[in-house]
This record gives sequence, structure tokens and C-alpha cells, in this order.
Amino acid sequence: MIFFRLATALLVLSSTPGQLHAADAMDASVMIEKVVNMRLSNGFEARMQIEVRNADHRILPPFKLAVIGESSLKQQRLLLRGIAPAKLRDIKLTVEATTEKALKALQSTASGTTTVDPFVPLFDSGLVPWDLMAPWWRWPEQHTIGHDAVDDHACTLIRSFTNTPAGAVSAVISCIDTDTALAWRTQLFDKQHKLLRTITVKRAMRTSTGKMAAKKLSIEQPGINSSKITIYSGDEHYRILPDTFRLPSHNTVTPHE
Amino acid sequence: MKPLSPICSVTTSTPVLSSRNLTLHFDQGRTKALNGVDIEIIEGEFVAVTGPSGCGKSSLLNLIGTLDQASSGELFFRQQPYSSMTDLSEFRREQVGFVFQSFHLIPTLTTLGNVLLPTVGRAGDHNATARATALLQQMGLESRLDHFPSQLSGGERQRVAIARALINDPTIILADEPTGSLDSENASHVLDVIANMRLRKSLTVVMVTHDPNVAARADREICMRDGKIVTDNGVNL
Amino acid sequence: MNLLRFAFDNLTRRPARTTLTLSAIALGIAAIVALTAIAWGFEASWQKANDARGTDLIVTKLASENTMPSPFVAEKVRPDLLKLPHVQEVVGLLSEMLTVSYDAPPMFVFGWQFDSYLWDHLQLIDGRWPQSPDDAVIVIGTLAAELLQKKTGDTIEIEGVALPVAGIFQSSALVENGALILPLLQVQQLTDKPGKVNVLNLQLDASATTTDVAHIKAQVRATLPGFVAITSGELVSQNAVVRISKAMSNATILIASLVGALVVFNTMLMSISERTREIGVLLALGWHPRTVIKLIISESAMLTLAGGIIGILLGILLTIGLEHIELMRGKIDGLFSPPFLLAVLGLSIILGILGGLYPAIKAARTHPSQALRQE
Repeated sequence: MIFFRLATALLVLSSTPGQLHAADAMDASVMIEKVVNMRLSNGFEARMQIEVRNADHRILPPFKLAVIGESSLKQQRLLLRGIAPAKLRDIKLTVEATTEKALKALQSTASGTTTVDPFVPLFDSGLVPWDLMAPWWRWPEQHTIGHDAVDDHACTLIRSFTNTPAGAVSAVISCIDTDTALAWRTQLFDKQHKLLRTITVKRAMRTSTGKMAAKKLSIEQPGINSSKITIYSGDEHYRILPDTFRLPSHNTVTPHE
Repeated sequence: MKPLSPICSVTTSTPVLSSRNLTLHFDQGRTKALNGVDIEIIEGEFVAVTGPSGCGKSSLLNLIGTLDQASSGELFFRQQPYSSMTDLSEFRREQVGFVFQSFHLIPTLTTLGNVLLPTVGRAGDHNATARATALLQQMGLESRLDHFPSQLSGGERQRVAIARALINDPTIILADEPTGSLDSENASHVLDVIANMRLRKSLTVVMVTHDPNVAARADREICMRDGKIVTDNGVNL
Repeated sequence: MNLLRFAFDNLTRRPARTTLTLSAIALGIAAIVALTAIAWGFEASWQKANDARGTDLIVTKLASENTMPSPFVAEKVRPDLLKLPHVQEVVGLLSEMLTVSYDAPPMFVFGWQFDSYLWDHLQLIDGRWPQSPDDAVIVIGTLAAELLQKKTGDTIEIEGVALPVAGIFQSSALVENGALILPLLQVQQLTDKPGKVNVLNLQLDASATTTDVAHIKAQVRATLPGFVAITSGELVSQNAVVRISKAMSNATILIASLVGALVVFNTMLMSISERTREIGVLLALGWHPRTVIKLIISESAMLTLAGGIIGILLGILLTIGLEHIELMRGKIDGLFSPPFLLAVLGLSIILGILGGLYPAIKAARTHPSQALRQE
């Protein structure tokens, strides 16, 4: 759910949409447009519990996060707030992208607010702030490369590619459900086409607004860890207030990009 | 064929059983178990059917007992053709009592239970248990009512089988080698019981045997060969 | 000589086979009883909760595939509902399924409008009720207290906020006994849903008839797009978990019936094949083929009757056992309705009759002279 909203928002923000290649141009553009239309939101909240299993199969204590977000034609904003355990309670993180500015992430803790690297996973999990914004939808190249099925859900594969990646990710293959515009699986690769992580929707449900939303997801980082994410509560019509995305104070600001 | 007068007491001279040109074929006519048998048996007669193995004597008994159906010809019970009978089960239950060589008692049932088997499903039969008990008493088995077949000797088992055959007061007893599985002492006892009951109840007995000594206990001996009656009480036919 | 006694003796003479067949039937019936009791119990518990609260109608947002109705701003709808005829009270409720302890399964956390009729049916066992809408305290059901090992005065962390347990209550509904209840305002704050509820409970006046209820339902549908007014029974039957558990119990009934009939069929077919000569003797003794059919059907019906009785007892024990295992506590409240148990027994006997029918007919068609020749 969140991934799609963000993906859509960023695509809409892009002033020059990615170039689509001849034969698959129509297919991919139709699909992306569907994703865009399905995922615009004036405000949403999702609460999730994340369970991380390390490469040595050790399971870390689960933690809970609230994600609040909005995505419009001009702006894409996210607030991640730690709920539990106690050590995360004061941690807030905002990720923002607009048509004018590049992706920016700020984190506030009890000691103050700092700019953070959006490529660093949250709390030793597979959850990466950069992924939440899904910037690959505004990359220059988008191809439909075939069809696949994820846990019996048929989906169309779209490959997003960039020659100038901001971080390690330079290609993303998403498997999009043509009916619901839900990405059942998203695979992120580096320049050498090494798989960095795979985000898979394990269970989805239709919300009261008729849209499909992920209920359970997994993020696999080969050789590092795997994270199980359960969205246990949510609000499709979260009321965004003027200070929703404002962090307490800005002590040190170090621009990342 | 002329009916012969029975030697022992006979209540009437009317044939209780008769047949006309009776045949029984198996394997689409290739095997002929009976090949044109004409017979008349008078009510109360004790008839022994003898002959070598495979001569058709058991087949004749099965046809009389309606366990098999004739390929051609007709059987009559008191002048009524078998072919006109609508309920052969009822005929077997009410008119016929079977005694088999290997007793065929039900192992899970007691002596009394086995004797009562033919009364199951018989409408309005309320004194069956009293009759069964009385019969078993007459057979000298009053102390064996609650015994299971496995707890009885061969002779006792066959007497239970005879009581079972008699429970519904049949007209005819059909006994297929009734002494075939018994030693001579028990065989003699069983034959005494059959003869005794026949007299008491004015029964017609048709007994298949290959033993001349056993056959000698009957009033009349019919000898069969190759599906035909060859002698009737020693008279060549 | 009794036919049923004879049938019974025939079953007991092969104890191993009879026991195996009985076990298979009993297990199938136990699965039917347990799953159905759980499905119905689940539904009944929710229904009981709503009935006990005295709610006549529930107004919620349409969310067919959602396990929990979507939250909405209560005050956008409440004034309109209060204007409807016969509506006396409109009370907000916010429910969430939350993990409050990693040692216990997720639990229902209810936010109930303070000072509303919703609280009236609860019986306070220990401690006190919340004193005001701003009183940030929890009252917990007896089962929740047991599962969380909490007593009055302890604290429970809900969504990262530690709150004191003010009291322990008992309810007639298992769902509530296993729940944590707070004033609505507190749950709205904890879950960041200011002013929101996911259910509005309507209490109607005593003069409201079924026609009035139908009228209110139609009014809500017509005037409040996206909302629906339903009775508690309808809400419960729409619940995805109730629907799934009912579908599972129906599928189990179907599969267990099929397997049961096949097991009986196989057993009786084997039995008559072994008893061919015996059946020949019965026919020779003058048994009518109908009586042979009755015998075999009696045997199979006795098998399934005994299997059914054992299965029902086993099913009840299984459900009670499941109710007490840690993982399931507070989630299961098996409902055993005598008519249903009788129906299961009836089904079991029907399976016996159906499973025994072909073997019985086959036995009745035995040719006596051929059967007698068989060794």
C-alpha cells in the first residue's frame, strides 16, 4: 500500500516522465498511469509491526512503526514514527520529495534533528526510507519485460533503470497486478545486476475505498536479513495537519544530496 | 415313473414333491448337472439320493430347495409349479429345512441364536424361543443353549443345525451329506435324530449321501449317475 | 432372535476392523463438531457482545473484505443519525486488534464513549471504572487479565504508551472478556485517530418495530453514502473471520461426510465379501433379501451411530481443549447447539445407510447355492 502510494506520488512529481521503449511503451505507460491514479492520497496512516530475522536465523525483538503520508501532484511526504519498544518512541523520521527538491530525509531523536542517509535501513531491518519513496518510477527507462506470478497472483514485470543512481540501486523490477495496480513483488538491483533486496506482498486486502492494500509484506536482503512486516492498523483518511511532518527542532542539518 | 409306496408310516399318498423332465445346465449348456429327472416323493417319505460324486444329487437337492433354478423342466410342490411361486424365500422359510454337511452355523451366535435364525423377519412368530428351546431339549442339547458353535462337538453342531431346520415346522427336510463330517457314532446319533423327528413331525426327508449304510436308513433309495436317476429302490429305470 | 443383536454381534466379531472404522468416522465427526462449534461460537460471541450492550443497530462503513470496519469521523454522521425516528442514542466505538504483550496474542482494544450505555452490562470484579473521558486508564476483561497476567494497579503498554489498569470486569461475551477497554477519547489518541470511530451503536426506543428498523436502514443507505446500518447479527455474519470459519466448517462437513461414507462403504463391502457363505446360509434358511439388506444397513448404521456419538464427544473435548491452550485462549468459545449435535448424529447415521446401501444390495443378490459352495 505504502510503496504504491509513494511510487505514484513520485511519478506524478516527475516533470519529465521516463522514456518508454517502442513496443512496450504503451503497456508500461498505461500500467504506470493506473498506479498513479490508484495511489494518490490526501492522507493515510498505517501501523506496522516488523520482525527481523538475521542471516544466522536469529530473530530480533519486533518493533512497531507508524507511517503517515500524503501524495499529491506536487508533493510526497512521509512521517515514520517509532511506537515500540521504548527506545524508538522518541524517534521520528520524515522523507520528503517535491517537484523542485530532491529526496530528503530528516530524523529527530531526543537529542535533536539531523539529516540522515535515506539509503540506511531502519533499525537493522530491511526497511529503507529511500525504498518507501520508490523513486524508480521517475527514472528515464521503463520497460515491460514480461509476465510472472507471485504466489499465484499473475502480474506484469516492469523494469525501471537509471544510469545515474543516487545510491546503490540502479535497476528495479516490479511485478504489477494489472487489475489492482498492486506490486506483488519489487526487486532492487545494483549496477552489476546483483540483487540487493526483494519486497514481496504476502497478503493484501481491499480497503473500504475499493483499493488494494498490502497487509503483510516481506523484505529479503540476501545474506543480510529478512523482515516480516504486518500492517495491523490503518486509516485511509488520515487528517494531515500543518505540523504533521514538522520535526521538533533542527539542530544540525547536513545536506545529503 | 410310478410312485413307490413308502416302507414306513406315511400320512398320505399325495406326492409332496414331483418333477418333470428336470434339467440343470452350467457353462452355457456344456456341463449338464441334471439331464431330464422325473421324480415323485410322497409326503412323509424318507428318501436317500445316492450316487458317485458329480452325479447331480446335490444339484437335485438345490433345485428342490429353490437354491438353484432349473434350466428346463418343472418342479411341483403339492402340485403347485415352482415357476408360479412369487416368494421363494417364504417357501424356503416355511416349507423347507436345510441340513448341510458342514453345519453352516453362525460362529457369533449361541446354539439358541442359531436355531432362531430362520424365524428372523417372520411376522407374528411370538413363541419362536419356546419352540427352539423345546427342539433343543428333544435333541438333548438343553444344557448347550448358550454355547457357541466352537464350544460344541461335531455331532452336537449337526443336531443344532437339525433343530434350526425344524424351527419353522417345515414340510420337507433337505439334508446334504448330514453325516459327512461326523464319526460313525455321531453319524448314527444324527441319523437317529432325523428319523425320530421325521416320525414325530410327519416330515418328508430327502437326504443326499454317498454312504450305503446311511442310505440304508431311508425308506427309499434313489441312485443317480450322470445327471439321471438310474435306480429307484433298486429298480433299474 | 433379534436382527439388531445379530448385526451388533457381527460387528464385535471383527474388533480390529470395527475399531478402525469407528475411529475414522469418529475423527471426521469430531472435526465437524469442533470446527462448527468454533465457527458458531465465534459468531455468537460477537453477537452476544452487541446484544448485551443493548445495541439495536450498528452504523459502519462498508468494508466487505476488511476484518475491522474502517474508521470515520463520528461527528460527520452522528447528528444525522440522531434525527432519524426512534433513534434514542448514538454511541461511538473504536476497536483495534493490537499486540500489547509479546508473550500474549494480539488483543481487542475497545474505545467506548464515556458515560454511554455500552458500559452498563459489564460487571466490575475489581478496581474502578474510568472516571472521565480524559481518564487515561484501562479496564480489562477477566480473560485478558489472565492472559496478560495483570491485576488492578499494574500497567499495560498500548501503542508505546504505558497505562494503568484501573479495574477488571466480567462480561457475558467472550470477546469482551478477552479485551481491554478504555474511554473512546483515549483509544483515539493512542491510535492517532482523533474524533474517529469505526462503529456507531444505535439504541432505538421501545416502540421501534421491525419495519422501523428496515426504514432506518434504508434511510442510512440513502442519505449517508458509503455507510450502512445493520443489525449486530448482520455485521457479524459479514465479518471475514466468521465467513472463513463458517466456510471451513462447511468444507469439513462435506469432506468428512464423503470420507465417512467411503470408509463405511469399504468396511461393509469387505465384510460382506468375507461373509458370502454366511449370507448364502441366511438366504437358504429362508431369509428374504430385504432382511439381508436390513442386516447390513443395521450394521453400517450402528457403526456410524457409535462413531457419531464418539465423534461428538471427541469434538466437544477437542473444542474445550482448544479453548484452553495458550495460543487459542480468548479466541474460541465453542457453541454446541443440541439440535446441531442431533443433526450431526443424524448425518452420521445417514452416512452409514448410504455407505452400506450398495454392499447390502450386493449381499442380497448373493446366489445362495454359489455362496454355499464358497470356501
